[in-house]
Formats: sequence, structure tokens, C-alpha cells
Amino acid sequence: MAVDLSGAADGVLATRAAEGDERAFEVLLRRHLGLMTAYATRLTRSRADASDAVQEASVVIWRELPRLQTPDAVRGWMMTIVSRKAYDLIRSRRVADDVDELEVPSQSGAVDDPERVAASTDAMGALRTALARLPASQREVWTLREVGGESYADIAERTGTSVTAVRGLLARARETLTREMEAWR
Amino acid sequence: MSDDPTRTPLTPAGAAPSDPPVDPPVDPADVDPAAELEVVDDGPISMERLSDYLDAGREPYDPEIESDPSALAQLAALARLRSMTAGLLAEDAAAEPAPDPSWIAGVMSRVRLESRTGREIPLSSPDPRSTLHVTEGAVRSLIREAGDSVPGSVVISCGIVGDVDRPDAVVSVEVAISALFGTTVPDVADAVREAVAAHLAAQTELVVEAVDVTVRDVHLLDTDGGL
Repeated sequence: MAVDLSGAADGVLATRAAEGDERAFEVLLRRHLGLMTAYATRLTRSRADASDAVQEASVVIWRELPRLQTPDAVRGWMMTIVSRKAYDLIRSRRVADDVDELEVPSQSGAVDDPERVAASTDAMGALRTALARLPASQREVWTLREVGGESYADIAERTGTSVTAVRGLLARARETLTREMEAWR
Repeated sequence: MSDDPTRTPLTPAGAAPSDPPVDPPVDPADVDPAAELEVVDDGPISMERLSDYLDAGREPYDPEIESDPSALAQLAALARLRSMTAGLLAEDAAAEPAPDPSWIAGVMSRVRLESRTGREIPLSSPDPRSTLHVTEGAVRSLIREAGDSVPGSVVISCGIVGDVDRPDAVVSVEVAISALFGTTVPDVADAVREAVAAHLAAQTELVVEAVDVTVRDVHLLDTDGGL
């Protein structure tokens, strides 16, 4: 008889999965899948790409779990792998597309589509609008930091810039966002 | 420059220090050539510094920030943005449709291709011309199942110590569990020990000399988990 693991802590599930418990892994994956997919969608700006990136990430997560030192922090670690896979995908798309357009995928994504943004009149909607209006490079860095919780060094590596540039972009994104959110307090 | 504990401590009246006084370290952001990206600075205290301070949980206490009203206002705005971001993420995640069963199935079948089988544990075979074995992964799964079957226990980790790949080797089993809050922990641990020993005796040929149970954690019943 299988015990219900749906209430088990992340750390328990991660430890069990690291030791080969596939069922624990599936519970862990389902628990964070929404967040992982939302993150990947923000990074790739495409639902289909997000789904692919999360699938690749999931297999890597399973494979690398035995090396995770702090099972309690598994969620943040999973998010890091999601962004790694999302960037792998974006890079392969750029090569495949063979275009010199290096700006990360266009605005035509599922994220913050105008209709959804326009319909919301609350502070959360205002934040979505403000985010959508940020320059792409700032939004990218902000997403990696605030959604993915990634380190400055990792962000610099992902985006191919320096830590100093990352810090500057992040500071400007935060400055703009806090200013725009002033009206909504 | 680090303080060398073997050096004679400088006293206020002591001789001049061998090193000239050093200016406080300059924030690298102030001198970095990437200053073309000009850090937004709407006050004497930069956004970066405030963000770092917030990231660090406002520790160690920074009197310069904590006594500057405009910095404090900016800090409050940043904290508010952060909590709104958490709300936005929760909203995003909740808005994700339920995963497609075929998507989950696809991931899990790839996971099973990379299952962690561990060592091979030999089994005696009725036919001397063939050899049988069970994987360590399968035995671990048996141990988990046994430990989980005890009310109030969830297995966190388990392992088999000893030369399992040698027939008739004497091994010991280590099980770490989380016990449900409110249960009598030693009783749960004993029940897990018995269940694991009984399962292994019934379903494997391992010679188990000891089952060591460690209660590593205590958990609350998950009220909305539908146990």
C-alpha cells in the first residue's frame, strides 16, 4: 500500500527521490510544476518552448538530485535548472533561426498579454503592465533574480554579461518598478 | 588586510601602525568601467546598496540606511515590490493549467530509463545453471514501503550497509524517518524497525543483523493534503 506523500516536505521528497523513489519525484515535480512552467514561460516567452524546457529540466533534476547538498532548498535549485534549460533552448533557437535578431523572443508570448493586462485594474495588474514595459534586458535580469532567485554570477553567465552589468540592470528595473508601483499603495 | 593574531595589538598610545591607514573600501560599482550602465541613484544611497541590504535581511544593521528617511522609504517600496512579486508568481503558477497527463507520463518514462538501481544483490537460485539477483534499488523501495506502512511514519532515507553483493553477507539497514507530531516517537521507531525487519525477512534473502531507525524529523499532519 502506498502512503500518500502529497503532504510530505520538499526535503523528504527530494531525499527519497535522490535515493531512487520515482513516486516521490513525481509528487515533487507536480507540486512545483506550475511555478516552473510560469518561470520558463517568462524566460522563453513561449508556452511551447516553456513546456519543452521544463521537460528537459525535469529529467536533469532527477539525474542530478543525488548531488544536491541541501534537499530542503530543492525548489530554488529546480528553478535554476529550469532557467538553464530555457536558455539552452533559446540559444538553440537562435542558431536554428539563423537570424541576427538577438533580442530574446518577441512580446508575442503567453505572458502578460495585453488583454489580460488591460483587464486588470488592481496593483498586481499594474505590476504586470510595468514589467511588460521594461526594456527586455532589464526584464530578463529581473526575472532571473526575482522569479528564479538566481545569483548575480549565474545571471551574468546565463545572459553573457558581467556581474556589474547585471547589478546595474537590476537596479534600474527595481527603480522603475518601485516608482510605477508608488501609485498603488 | 587581515588581522594577524600574532601581531602585538595596537594600543591607542602605541607606536604608529606599520600599515598606513587604509581608506574604506570603494564600492566596486562606483569605479567599474561598466559605469556606462550608470547605476540609478536617487539619493546618497544607491538602489543596489538598498537591494543588497534587503537581500541580506537588513543585517548587519546599517545605521546610515536605517537613519535616512528617503532610504527607508525606498527600502519599504522594495520590500513591497518583493511581496507583490511573490503574489504575482503565485498567481502565475495557479493559472497554469493542470499538467497534461501525457506530458507527465513522458517525463516519468524518461526518469524510469535512468532509474537508480544500485548494487546487485544475489539470490539463491533453484537452478544452479542460472543466477538471480535483486537490485539494491528494489530493496530500498521495500524498506520505504515497510516504514511508510507504520501509521505516523514517513521514511526520509534508507540504506543497506554491508557487502550485499556477497551471498549470505550479514548486513545492517539504516532508516531515517519523520514521525507525525503527537505520536510516541520511540513506539513509532520500534514499529518501523519491526516492519522493515519483517518485510525484508519475508521478501529477500538478506541476513539482516540490525535495523537502525533514526527519527530525523517530526511533521504535522497536512490538513489539506487529504491523507
